[in-house]
Amino acid sequence: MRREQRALEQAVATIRLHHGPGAIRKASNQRRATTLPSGFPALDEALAGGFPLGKLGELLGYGTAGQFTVAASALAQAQQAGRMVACYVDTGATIDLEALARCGVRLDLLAILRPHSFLHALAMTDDLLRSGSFAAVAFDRLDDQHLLANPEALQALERALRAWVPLLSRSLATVLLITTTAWPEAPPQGLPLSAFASVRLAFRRQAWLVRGPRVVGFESRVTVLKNRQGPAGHSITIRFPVDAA
Amino acid sequence: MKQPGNPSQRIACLLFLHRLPEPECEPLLDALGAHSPAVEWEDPACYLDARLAGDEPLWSCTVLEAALARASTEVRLGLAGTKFAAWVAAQTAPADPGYQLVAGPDQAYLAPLPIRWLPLPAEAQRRLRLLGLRTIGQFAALRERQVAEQLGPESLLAHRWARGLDERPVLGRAPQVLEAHHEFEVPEPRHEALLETALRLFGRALQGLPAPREAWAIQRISLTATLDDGAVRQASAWLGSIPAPRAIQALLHGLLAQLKGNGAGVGELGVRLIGWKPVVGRQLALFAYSETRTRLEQALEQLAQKHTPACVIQASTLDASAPLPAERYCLTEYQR
Repeated sequence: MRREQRALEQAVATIRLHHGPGAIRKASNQRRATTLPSGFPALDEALAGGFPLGKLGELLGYGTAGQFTVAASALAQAQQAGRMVACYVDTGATIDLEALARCGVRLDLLAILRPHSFLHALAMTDDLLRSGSFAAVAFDRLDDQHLLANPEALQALERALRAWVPLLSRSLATVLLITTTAWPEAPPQGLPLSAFASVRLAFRRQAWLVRGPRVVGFESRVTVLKNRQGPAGHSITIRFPVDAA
Repeated sequence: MKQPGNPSQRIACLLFLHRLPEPECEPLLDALGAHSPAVEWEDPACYLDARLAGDEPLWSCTVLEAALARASTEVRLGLAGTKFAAWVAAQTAPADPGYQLVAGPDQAYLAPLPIRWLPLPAEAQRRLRLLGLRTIGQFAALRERQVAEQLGPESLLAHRWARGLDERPVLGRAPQVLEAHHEFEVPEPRHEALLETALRLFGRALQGLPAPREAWAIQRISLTATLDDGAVRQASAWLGSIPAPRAIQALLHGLLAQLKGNGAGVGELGVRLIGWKPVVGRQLALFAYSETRTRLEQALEQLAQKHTPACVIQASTLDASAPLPAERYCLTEYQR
């Protein structure tokens, strides 16, 4: 091997060691994936490929509207692409393993964090992202009313998001935050995610799908509120089946 | 068609009076394989092809001794011309000598026995008793059409068996072994290097499992080492229900320590995975041994150290097809 090539490889390895695997990349004709598919083709089309790698995404909605299913499905997609590890931050201790497994999530490649409080959740997620070991993280969940009523939490969230953005761009992990809000299409002003998230999706359940006396699923309207990698404003309708346990 | 009581067919049924613990099955079947060309496991019984038995009482004693030496439960043996008759003979065999041989035609042996031995539902047996039929012979004397009309077509199988027409052969076990070997250019004495090789061989052997690989559970792992002095050593161990990657590493570490002993160099190392059965989700962790998994464990360990282990949770699949949701998946605190 020539000395120059060896020196170059050494320099690349050093930069990656100190600044993360995404800090430096070799130029190549081969196009690298830049998005994480959501597992819903219509949504991927509306998002020009899926959720961007190394960015923040926000899923806004209220009650059963499909945010959890889309987040879980994206975690499954991240695991399938190169057997990567995913994480679920379960702030409310309400995780449904059955539903995760139904969405295709491999539980043996999933870490679950159960923090004591919202601030603890931010601290744990911060440590998680600094480890650089995770391809996708679902943060379940933020409550807009709680944040707006609690300036300390709001400031902590802003600080955390400010720190996460460069971390994510280095590790190429995708973080999906599920936010509970009564008006997903017009979320309240003053929340920092509107500035930091690359993708914001509003979920609104439109109808329950029934077959005879049984509820077999629901239909939601998903609106792309913000999309830095493509046009925003699209609205699509997705049907979410509810499998009987 | 095979005639009832065909003397060319001899089948032995080894009946275990209590359920055998899983780790005992494989060595027992291996041991029985020395006495019969075909051994079939059908929980809680085991069928052996006894055509080459020769002196049947002596052979029966030998097989019983071999089974009793490896099984932790009482065993009975029945020997007849068909599987069903052999099973009934084993069920009704006396405790001493522990076996029963059916010398004549199976139909004649079965004829005086009560109908409760037949694989008929309780309702069908009740109707037979109402009709005044008490023995297998009386049931066998009925015409097929009468049986189908009275008890339904599903009872025709029992009717054939009652007439000594049980065509089920003894299905010998297919050799269920996955192997991977590595020959070192220079005998390798270092334990860490051998452990790493064994782990890679283990991963390579797992590739041979039929798809989907996660649906199978490996029963036993065996490690073979050819030492630099030419000696071949072997050590084996049973895999638990949910062996985590760390458990596999520890297992191989222990087996290697047994093999090497005095620190001799190893010229060739082989890993054999023996016996597998379809148990979905039981050994999922086997397939996750990779750098990704190692990174995950490192990250979790750091998180558990910095925060509390109660905040770091791992999910696992117990039995995805279990009827109760609580028995399907579980959450556990991270444990190193």
